[in-house]
Amino acid sequence: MKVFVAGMGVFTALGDNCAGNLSSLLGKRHGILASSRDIDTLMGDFPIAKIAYTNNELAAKAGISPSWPRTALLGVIAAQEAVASSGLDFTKYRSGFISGTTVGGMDSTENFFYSYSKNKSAGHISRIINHECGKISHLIAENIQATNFVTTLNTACSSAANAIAFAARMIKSGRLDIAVAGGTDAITAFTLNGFNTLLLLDDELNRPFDARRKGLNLGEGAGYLVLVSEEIARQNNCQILAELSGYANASDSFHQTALSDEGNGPYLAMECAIKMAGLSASVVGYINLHGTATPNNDLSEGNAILRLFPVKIPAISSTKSFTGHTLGASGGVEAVYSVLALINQTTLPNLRFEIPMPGTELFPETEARKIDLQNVLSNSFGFGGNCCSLLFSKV
Amino acid sequence: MDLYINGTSSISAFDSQHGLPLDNADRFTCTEPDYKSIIDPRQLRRMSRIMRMGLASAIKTLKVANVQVPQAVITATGLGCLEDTGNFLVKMCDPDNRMMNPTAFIQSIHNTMGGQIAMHLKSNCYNNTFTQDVLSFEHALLDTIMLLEEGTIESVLLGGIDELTVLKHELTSRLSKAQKESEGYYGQGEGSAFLSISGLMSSVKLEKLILSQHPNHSDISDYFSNHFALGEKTLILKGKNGGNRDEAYKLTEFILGTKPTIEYKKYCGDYPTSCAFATWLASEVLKQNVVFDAIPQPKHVLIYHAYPDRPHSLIHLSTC
Repeated sequence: MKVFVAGMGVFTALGDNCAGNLSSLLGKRHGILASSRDIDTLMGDFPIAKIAYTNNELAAKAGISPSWPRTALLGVIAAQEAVASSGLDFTKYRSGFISGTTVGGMDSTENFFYSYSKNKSAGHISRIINHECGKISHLIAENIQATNFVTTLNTACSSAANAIAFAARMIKSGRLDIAVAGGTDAITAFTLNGFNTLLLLDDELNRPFDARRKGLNLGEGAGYLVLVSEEIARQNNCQILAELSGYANASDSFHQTALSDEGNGPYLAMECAIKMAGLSASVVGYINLHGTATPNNDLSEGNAILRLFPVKIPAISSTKSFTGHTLGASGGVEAVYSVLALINQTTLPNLRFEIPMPGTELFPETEARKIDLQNVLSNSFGFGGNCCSLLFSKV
Repeated sequence: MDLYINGTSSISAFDSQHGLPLDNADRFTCTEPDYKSIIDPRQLRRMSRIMRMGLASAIKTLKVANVQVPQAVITATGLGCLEDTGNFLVKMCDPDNRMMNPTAFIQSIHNTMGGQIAMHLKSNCYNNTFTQDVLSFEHALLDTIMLLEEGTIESVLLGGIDELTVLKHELTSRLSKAQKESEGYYGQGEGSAFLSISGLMSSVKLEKLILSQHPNHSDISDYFSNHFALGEKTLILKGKNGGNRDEAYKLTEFILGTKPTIEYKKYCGDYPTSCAFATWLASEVLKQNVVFDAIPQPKHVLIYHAYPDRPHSLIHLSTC
């Protein structure tokens, strides 16, 4: 059985819908405009890709309560766009919501802890009730009426990609007709300080796949696909944006926070996703890289690509040079970007690339370039060695 | 496809050798094994408590199942690695003493146990982590069943893990007071329970997982009625926690009211992935490794969870 993409929605620092994001990507306008000090005044000054709306503004935009954690607010706006763009009546079918997130309601929990750390009996305890990752999905699913099955995956930065793969399997096994799948994560002081203690943040704008890359910039956002079975697509005469033709999950099994130099997990995830589609690597026209711009990730991913494509390297780029690293959401955001690349038959630029990594001679796309695209690969790799690749094919 | 549980291991407050913990304890803390005999002491030093519990029960499960390397590792955790999350948060939010530790951040993420298990096994296998509150374990079990049905792999290591920390106990107690949780609440708990599942025949069969979506949960009621019509010796393990949320169990009271039942959270406490403990306990009961006085030895165990405004779940295990 085939699984198709029948709708999508995305919200990042580049814009609050697919059209806005695409226009920024093609026009090479990045969204890494804020500072870590806007979130945490005690931190050093690191560039971040923060969405300009306040929580109250987001809530008004989505028509929901401002008491929701930011991760849920960002997620519901992208999910609403995805649902609307599909034109499907979710209440007529078995509809599910499958989402990845790493921070859950952490921004709200932090607010509580700032009071609690001064005085153990202080702070509004109600602020922690939506802390759990699963609560975020529950809130969003109720809002978009995709409640027949709701679950959450947290495999660090591959969470959303794994959510999309799991959703496709739910449809293929006949358990769901429609699934909204992807991920959402807000920037929080917790993640900013966490990545800072690991010395993984660049104090300048990130440079994915460049020899001089120093680390990542954090971003926030959400991206969701509406996945449907062939039958639902036919019954509803759905607009088909792409086929999700392959996906694969593999462990790198090397280190908790670093990938193996040779990129075993990334290689297996890409290879198995292509195999699943019954294709050979040579038909992949563009790879939306995980490309975090940390020295380790890009080298590992680059080496895996060199091994998998020994003859001709497809067009590659990391859109994290625009959005920053949106963590658990990145697989969803970049799945949307991959489908946008496929629909528009274009590569997406990789900003600030000048010098290839020594020994790899990998040259990411620096401009949006019109090409003939049949298959696009989207990579997501996370802490714990959790790797996942998705393959989208033109229909 | 017929699926079987080939091995299990659990770390919980329940001690099957030395008797059961007292009913209505304030909290249920795990009786932990001597990890040095299970995990390399050099690794052990760097591991948080929840990682130790997870990795130790994973290793023991594979040993019992005689599986060297499973083809998938699927973990479930409702709240993730709370000790490290709490440590990092408390330090971060204290402006006078802001000494944040990268290890706490690294180990705070929910897939820490899954990643560590894969690394321990040096395996490039499928690895996923589910975190959907009280249904996390059931969803991980669903993934297990789907993977095995898809036929690309033959064995799955599945586990549910949550830890109870001092901070969690304090904050949840405060929250319960704010939400007026009732008197009879059994108390908070924690645990790690792993299962090795495959198509290889063993004495414990995984018959069915139902996640009910219907507002009246009639699919679960029908399953109960059909099952009891067969007259098989059956034990019900109910996920009641003694508090307000138990209202949801009233829906099936007309069928289950008189059947042999154990409210298993009296032994492990209330925590999001306690269903993993229940599945371990069911397997032990079917193998007669755990015997409850006054309950006839069952051939079937039905593990039932009911929640207000959430899907209800049913896991059915049997022995031949």
